[in-house]
Formats: sequence, structure tokens, C-alpha cells
Amino acid sequence: MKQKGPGSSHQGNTFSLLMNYVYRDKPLLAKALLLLLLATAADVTGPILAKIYIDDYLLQSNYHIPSLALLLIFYLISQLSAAWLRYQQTLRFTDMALAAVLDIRKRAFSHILKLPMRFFDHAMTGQLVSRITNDTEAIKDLYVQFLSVVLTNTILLFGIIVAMGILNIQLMFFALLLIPAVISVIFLYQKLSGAAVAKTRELRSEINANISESISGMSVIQESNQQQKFIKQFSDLNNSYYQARMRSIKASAALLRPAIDLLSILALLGIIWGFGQQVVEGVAEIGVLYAFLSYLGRFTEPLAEITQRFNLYQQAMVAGNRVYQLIEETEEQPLGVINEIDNGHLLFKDINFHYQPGKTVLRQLDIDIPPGNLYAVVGHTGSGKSTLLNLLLNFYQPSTGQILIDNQKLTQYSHQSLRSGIGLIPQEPFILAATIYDNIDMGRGLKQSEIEQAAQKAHLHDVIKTMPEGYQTMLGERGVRLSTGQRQQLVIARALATSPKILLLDEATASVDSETEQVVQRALDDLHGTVTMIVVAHRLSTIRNADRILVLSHGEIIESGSHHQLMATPDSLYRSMYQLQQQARLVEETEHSH
Amino acid sequence: MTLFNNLSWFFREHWRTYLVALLMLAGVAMLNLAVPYLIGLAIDELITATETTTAETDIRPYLLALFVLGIGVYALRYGWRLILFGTSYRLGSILRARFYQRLCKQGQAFYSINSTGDLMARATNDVDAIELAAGEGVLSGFDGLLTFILVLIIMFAVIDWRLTLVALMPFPVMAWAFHRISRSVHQHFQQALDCFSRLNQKTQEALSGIRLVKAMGREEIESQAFSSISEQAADSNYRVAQAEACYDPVIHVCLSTALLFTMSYGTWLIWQQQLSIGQLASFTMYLGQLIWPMFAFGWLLNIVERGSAAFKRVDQLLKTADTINDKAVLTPTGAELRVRNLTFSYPNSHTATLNQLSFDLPAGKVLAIVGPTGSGKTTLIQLLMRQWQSEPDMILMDGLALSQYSLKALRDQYAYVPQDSFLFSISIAENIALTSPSASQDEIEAVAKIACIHQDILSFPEAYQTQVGERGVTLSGGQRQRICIARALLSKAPVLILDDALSAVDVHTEQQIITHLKDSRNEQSSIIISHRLSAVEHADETLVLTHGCLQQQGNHDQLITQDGWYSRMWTYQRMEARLEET
Repeated sequence: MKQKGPGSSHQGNTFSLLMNYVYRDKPLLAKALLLLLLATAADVTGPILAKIYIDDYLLQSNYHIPSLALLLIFYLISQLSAAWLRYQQTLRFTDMALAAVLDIRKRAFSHILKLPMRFFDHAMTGQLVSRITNDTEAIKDLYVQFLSVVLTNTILLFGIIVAMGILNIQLMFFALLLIPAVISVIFLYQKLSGAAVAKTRELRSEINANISESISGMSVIQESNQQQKFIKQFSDLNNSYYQARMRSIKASAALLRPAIDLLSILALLGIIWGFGQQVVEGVAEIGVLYAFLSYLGRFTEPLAEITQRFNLYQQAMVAGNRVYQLIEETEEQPLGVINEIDNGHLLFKDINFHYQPGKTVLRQLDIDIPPGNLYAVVGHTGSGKSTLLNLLLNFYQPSTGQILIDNQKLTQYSHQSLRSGIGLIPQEPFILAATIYDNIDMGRGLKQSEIEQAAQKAHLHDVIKTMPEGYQTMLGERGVRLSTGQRQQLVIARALATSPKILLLDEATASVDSETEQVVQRALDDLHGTVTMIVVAHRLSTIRNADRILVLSHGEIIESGSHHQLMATPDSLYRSMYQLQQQARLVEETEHSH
Repeated sequence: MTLFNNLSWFFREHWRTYLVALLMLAGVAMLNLAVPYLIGLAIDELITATETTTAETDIRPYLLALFVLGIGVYALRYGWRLILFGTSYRLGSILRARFYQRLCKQGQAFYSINSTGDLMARATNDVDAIELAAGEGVLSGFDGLLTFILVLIIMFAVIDWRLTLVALMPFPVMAWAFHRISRSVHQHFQQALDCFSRLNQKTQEALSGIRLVKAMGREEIESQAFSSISEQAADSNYRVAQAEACYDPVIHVCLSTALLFTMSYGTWLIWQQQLSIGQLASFTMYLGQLIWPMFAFGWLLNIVERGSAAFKRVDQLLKTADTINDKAVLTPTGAELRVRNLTFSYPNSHTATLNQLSFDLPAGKVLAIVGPTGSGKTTLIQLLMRQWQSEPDMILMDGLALSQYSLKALRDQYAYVPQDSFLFSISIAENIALTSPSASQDEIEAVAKIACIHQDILSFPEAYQTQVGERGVTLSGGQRQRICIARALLSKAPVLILDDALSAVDVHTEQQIITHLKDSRNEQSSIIISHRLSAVEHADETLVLTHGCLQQQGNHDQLITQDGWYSRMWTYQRMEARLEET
């Protein structure tokens, strides 16, 4: 059944996206619909059987036991199968709904991971999380509540009307009058209470905001002795919230359940009256009245349900729209086909780069790094050091210019070859709550020998061997806690596990302890000559042995040379930075002496 | 039922309102009972008419009675909803207000162990759960019980007790099934919530670490991990739906069985001419009315269970004693501070945050406190303001221990600018005049000028009336700090405290503010904490703290000549400044 609710015309794409899932599993849909129809048929048979029972037997005082028993057995069978069919049908619809949400969630999540880095510059993580979890949850309501409830109740309503029609067409029309009456009552309610409900919601979020702000600012409130004033403000807000809720409860008490119940009593009156007329004409059967009374009891409920679900429908469509937009974001460009980095010769040619137009981050950069060389990049925060690494990792593409690896464009390499050919040691050592093995493997499916070799290169193998479960030792919250230096070693092993030709090292900004510094230092010395390395350094002492040190300032290389060359240049920025760090050490010394 | 016991103060206070609501509920239940009865009578009347073929029936009195009844039920239902829900909203309102007042009485010790998120959850979700128990809990308990009893009475007494006994046989099964279902829904719902929060966590984790995910090529693995959690979430959602879907068949099967029994046994009774067809019809309608009580009992258990848990959490906070005892009544007459051998460690900590500190701050002088992060500077300030309780007699103001003064009087002595410059979502003028709401616009502008923020404020769309925060302007860190300084200056308290309150302001503005302060505060004393030594160069005395110990003490000229933290830091910061100029 195609349900097109209000406001869906401009959300056509979202709607068809969501509807696709309904048709996706056709056998399941057909099964669910069949169950629904059978359940409704079995359901409405009950009162008809009761009618026959009353009119043909009780009223005629015809107590023929076998027929009576047969009727009762029929009745029992019809009702039991209605219950069973209804249960099965509900589960089928739930199944469809959950399968759809599951698929949308998976799609949205894996899609978002493939979006280019640029997308994340402007996106707020909290919002994205909410789209993947909350919004998809709202879509679930669309399927479970809206489709299933509305569909079920519409068909039930239809079934009841048909059964009523079979029994007595005139009385059916009395019952039909209920439909417009209930619908108009509910629409009247939504119109009248809309403002009050919106106001209640608004005040509710204001109360939340107020409490949250007061808690954060409590020390300020107390230090300035303003408690009374703030208590008064809160209590005013609290009171308006109470008033607003009273207004909305008035509307709902006047128009929802009580009014609908009143309507159904009125319909009851109408039916008995109409029946009375037929008695006068001599055409009435008491059993019909009995059946109508049982139908009527089930008539208003579906109507009220259907009308109330339209609210949910609108909310779900808004959520669906947001998810749809997310899924429609363009993914990262697929990369090239070259499968391996051979030597690790790096060439930055004439690179210009900006995140936002007009704010250049890198300017006219030309760097040529021969295979196996160690280059260090230093400079102030915001000088463009990390951006250089971002370009190499292909998180961003240069605005102009090219990055060449072994004289091939970066974009000609496959995703896989870049990930295994370029190792990254990030600022924060990130440890998974998993085994040491998995922490080095990181899901790349490496061989045991490769893992062990990497651990050896990072000087971690011997330490791991002394652990009770070796490479299968659990790390993280409930497992073994590694020292800062060991964590760094683990991260180095992880980066080396695929035997990369190029290694990028983003050194931690926070003051690194000497243990960690030594670890990094030793790794750099070991690899020097075999792997091309770019080290973004904050501690100038770790890069003394670099083949070349590039000093970046405002996106330009202003100094370049070996440690000794740069130190020998009077007034060089590098020299001042180095001296500043020396002074920082002197300050630090005094902090630890008493 | 301990929940209702705990809330008895409220029920006692509003017993009249509750009584009226409950009477109305009882009225509804009774009137509702009359509906099937009247219909039964009408049917019998009609049957007599068809049988006697007189065609002279008058069912109009019944119809009129039904109509009046319908209107009456409507009015009563409207009434009890308004009263019962209104009263429970009132309860929520009172609890929230009390909660807020308690929050205002709690000091740093309390906020350091209770997270904002947790406090928020108690003030909102938990209060809602209590409200639900006091409103719908009372409703379902009372109404369910009443309907149950009344329907039973009618069935037994008015229609036929034997038929009732036979018909009721399936109902205990229904009650038992409802209880089971409601428990399993609750349990699976908890699991579903749990899965949902893990889903949130996983997404949050992956997205905040997106750089690493991409660099390590973990897109596939992350997606797989996400999928498996999603599948678990779908699975537990399915279980919730499965458990919920059981309600319908249970009602259906039990009711059908009851109807079957009624029909068979009723037929026999009619045969024996001990029952009329109309009575049989009304009896079956009464059976339908028994569903709600069965449902209500199951639901009641659930709501009360949730309400009790919520009440415990809220009550625990409402009963938390004031962090700082505020019984003293004295008001200081002067503001000289004298600190002797001050040692302090935070609760649950074994190391002393401050160790054997001694210093004086005479009126009108400037005291500076410097030192590396974590050396105890802010703790010292908080102790001076008695936000934490220190050992008696270690800190004296005007010759007496801080605990001799009322908290209000003590804090009136200080104008404090905290590290994290906090502004409320009100206008800039109101933010500055927070402590002195009666200040004139001129006074506000005067302090804004001293804090070098006047020009900035004038550039905002509505100048001093501009709202701060989401609905207004977003201010830079430096602007926020300067507004907080203006706020403190307006209070004219004897001691001004700047807790690293110039960190986000550039050096030039910092010097300007320091000069303004020197000029405008002659009789008042100041305590300045700063990471930038240039801001405290002019101090009468400077304390150098490292790891809670006083390492050096003296004025700038003395300190600069000693080889220590101060002089080395001074050199470092000058080198840094020079480097930045290039």
C-alpha cells in the first residue's frame, strides 16, 4: 500500500529510499500481507458466528447440541488462529522494519567513513553520530509504528466495515459516521494543542539548558552570592513550564480519549436506535445487534491509532531526510592502480594548499627527499607542518602542484599500496582494547612472522615474550597497562608491520618523557638509510641526526639544512628555537628540585 | 510501594485533590458499568417486542439514559485527568525546584564527584519517572482495582454468579501472562538501550578518530565492528517487539476462551430459563471491561519500579548535606589575609596539594602567585574563599578564622575572576552587573573601560544589550575574560582575585589592563595568578609555588636576581617573545 502523507512531495527522494526497503524483500512483504488479511478475516468472523448462534439457535430456542458445539468450536478456532496470525504478522513487519534500519545504518556508517577528510572539517561529530544512531532509530518508528500500525488498523477497519455490511447495511452506515467524527476531533485537537505542545517542549529544553548552565556556572553564582536570584529565575521558568503543561493537558483531556469515548457511546446510541426502527419494521435480528456491539468496541481504537500516527510519520520523514542527505554526500575519489611503492623517493613539486579559499596554508613548496633519507620539519603551531603529512596521506589534495612517489603521481597508487607503503606514527599512541597481536595487525591480516619482525624492529619483541600470554596478552582497560614508552614502541611496530617504504612521524606536542624520547630516537636511528622518513618534530633534540631539517613559517620553507649547518647560522630561527628549548629545560629542572 | 510511602508528604498535602480525582475516577467506573447493563435491558425490551410482535416498544428512556451517561462520563474523565495529572505535574515542579535549591548549596567538593550529565539526568528523567508514578501510577492502580471490583460485583450479584465463575477462569492466566510479558519487555528494553548506547559510542569513537581510521585503512574493520553492534541492537529491538507482540494474542485468546465458556454455559442457563439473552449480551461486554484492570496491574508494577529507582537517586541528592557548613554569623571588618602553615590535601588523595604555606596580604597590596601547572595555585585561591574546608586557624581574615564568618559575608570580601571565564546566556550588561544588579549603565561602562572591553562591546549588534551564547554573539576567549574582569571590578569588593584571567588576552592589552587596575584600585588588595610573568612584574610580593611548596618569595627585582624558577622563566618568556616577533 502506498501511503503518501502530508509534506512528502518535496521529500520524494527520501520517500522512495524508504519505500524501497518495503519492496526489497517481496516474499516477506507478501507473507506479511497475507497473514494480515487472514488474521483480519479470522478476527471479524467471530461476531458473525455469535450472531448466527444467537439468531438461529438461542432466539429460536433451538438447543441442538452438536450444531451448537460445532459453532462454538468454529468460534474458538477462528479466534485462536486470529491471535496466532496477528502475532506472526506483527513479527513479520517488525522484521522488515529492523532489517531496513539495520541496512540503512550500515550503509550510512560505511559511507561516512569513505567521505573525504574535507567533509569532516566542517561536520560536527555529535551531529553525525546523531544522524547515524538517533535519526535511523526514528526511521524505525516509521516502519514499525506507521507502516505496521496504520496498515494493520486500516485493514482491520475495512474488515469490520465489510462484516458490518454483510450483517446489516443500514446499521453499517451509522458506524461509518464515526470515521469523519473521530478524524475531525483529532485534527481539532492537533490544531488547538499544537501551540501549547510546542511551548511545553520549548520550555522543557529551556529548563534543561538552565540547569546545565547553572551547574557549570555554580561556582560563579556562589562566589558572587547570587543564589537567591538564580533560584527565583529557575522557579519562574519551572512555573511557566507547569502552566504550559496544564494548557496542553486541558486540550488533550477535552479532545482525546474522553471525546473519542463519548463519540463511541453516541454511535452505540445510534445503532440501538436504528435497530429499534428496524424492529418496528419487523426486519431486525437480535444477533446482528450483538455482533455490531462487539464490532463497535473495536472500531474507535484503530481510528484513533491511525490519526495519532501521522505525527510520528512527519518526524520520521524529517529524520529520513537527514540520513538521505548524508548518504548522498560524494565519496572519496577512487585512487589509481599501482600496487607497490618500490623505493620511497618523495617529491613535492610546487605545492600550494589552502583549507579555505584565501587562507593559504602551504606556499610554493618544493621538497625532494631521496629514498632512505630522514627529513625533519619544524616550525610554530600553524606553520603547516601537519598539513604536509595530511597531503602525503592523501587526506587532502594540493590546490596546485603535485606529490610524486618514485616519479609517479600519488593518486596513481591504489588505496591499499598507500596504506601499506606509508606508515604513520601519530601524535597520540592509540591502543585498542585487544591483544598485542591485534594491536599490531590492526585488522590488516598480517602473518605472525611479519608481526614479530615489526615488534623486533621496535625493540618490543623481548618484552612481549616475557608476558604470560605473549602476543595474545590483552591490552586496554581490563588488560595489561603498558608504559608510555612501550605504547610508543607498539605504535612504531604497528607502523612498521607492513614494511613501509615511507614512514611519517607526528611527534607528540606535549612534553614527552625521556623514556619515550629514547624509544623514538632509537627507532629513527635503526631505520635511517632504509626507509624514507618525514618527522614533524617538536623536540628538536630528537632530530639532530636528520639529513635535512626544514624550518616552516607561515607555509613557506624559510631555512633548510642539517642541524650543524642551521646552528652555525647566526640569527637563524632554528637556532633561536633550539635555545628556547634549552631554556625550557632549565625551567623544568627547577620545577622538580625542592 | 515504598515509593508511595516516600511521597506520602505530598499525598498528605494534596489529599483533597487526590480524593476528588479518585472520586471522579470511581464515578467513571460506575457509570461505565451502567452502559452494558442498559444495553442489556434495551435488548431484552427489543426481544420482547419481536416476540410479542406488538411493535410497540419504547427504548427511548434507555437511549436517553445512555446519552446522559455518556455526557457524564465525558465530564468526569475530563475532570480527573486535569486534577490527577495536574497534581503530578505540581509534584514534578516542586521536586525540580528543591533539586535546584540543593544544587545552589553545594560546593566544589560536591561538583568534583558528581558529573553534570548525571545531575542533569536526575533533574530531568528521574523527576519525570517519579511524576509518572504519582500520576499514571496512582491512576492505573486505583482505577484498575476499582473497575475490577465493581465489574466482579455486578457479574456476581446482578447477573449470575455461576456464569461469572465459569467465565473468569482464563483471567488469572491473563494476569500472570501480563506480568511475565511486562517483565520481559522491561528486561529486553534495558538491553536495547544498552546496545543503543554502545552504538552511539562506537560511532563517536570512529568519527572522532577518523584520521587514524583512514591512515590505517581501517574503514572495513570499523564498518564490520559497527555492523555487528547494529545487528545486536536490531536483535534486542526484535526481542522487545516480540515480547510486546505477546500482549495482543494473550488478550485475544483469554477473552475468546472466556467468551466461549460464557456462551456455552450461558446457553445452558438460557435453556433452563435462568438467564435472558440481554443479560448474556451485557455479560460479554463486562468481560471486555476486565482487560484494562489486568493490564493496569502489570503496568503499575513497572511504573512504580522505575519511579522508586528514580526517587532513590533524586532523594539521595536532596538529602546531601551542604558541602561547607555555614552556621557562623560574623562579618569581617577588614580584609587582611594571614596564612600560616597551610597544608591541604583533597579528599581521597594521599599527597598534599599544598604544603606548609605561610604569607600575608595586607590591605591595598598586590600579591602574585606563579609556578608551573598543577602547583596548587587555584587550590590556594579556593581555600581562601572557603570553597573547600581547610584545617581551622590556618587562614585568618581580619584576625579571625574563615569559619567564623558567614559564607555570604566572607565571599562579599572577594571579587573573583576564575580561570574558565564563565558567562551566562543573558545580555552582556547583565553579565557584568551579575553581582550588582542595581548598577547604572555608566558604572557598567566605567568598569568595561578599565577591563579594555568597552570598544569590543560597542561593536556588537546591540552593544551592551547583546545576548551572550547561542542566541547572541559568540565571544572569543579574551573577550570573555575581559567581561569577567569587568564583572569583578563592578563589585568593589576589598580583595580582587584574578586566577590566570588574562591568559587569552594579548600582551599589549594585558599591560593596559594591569595599568588601569593599578590606577583605579588604591585601597583594595589584589591576588593575581598568571603564567605570564609580565603581568605580575609590579606585584608587591610574588610567591613561586612548585608542587604545593613555596619555593621562592619576594618582589620582581629580588626574584630576578636569584637563580630559580622565576628568573629562568623570565628569561624563557623574553626569548619566546622575541622569537614571536620575528
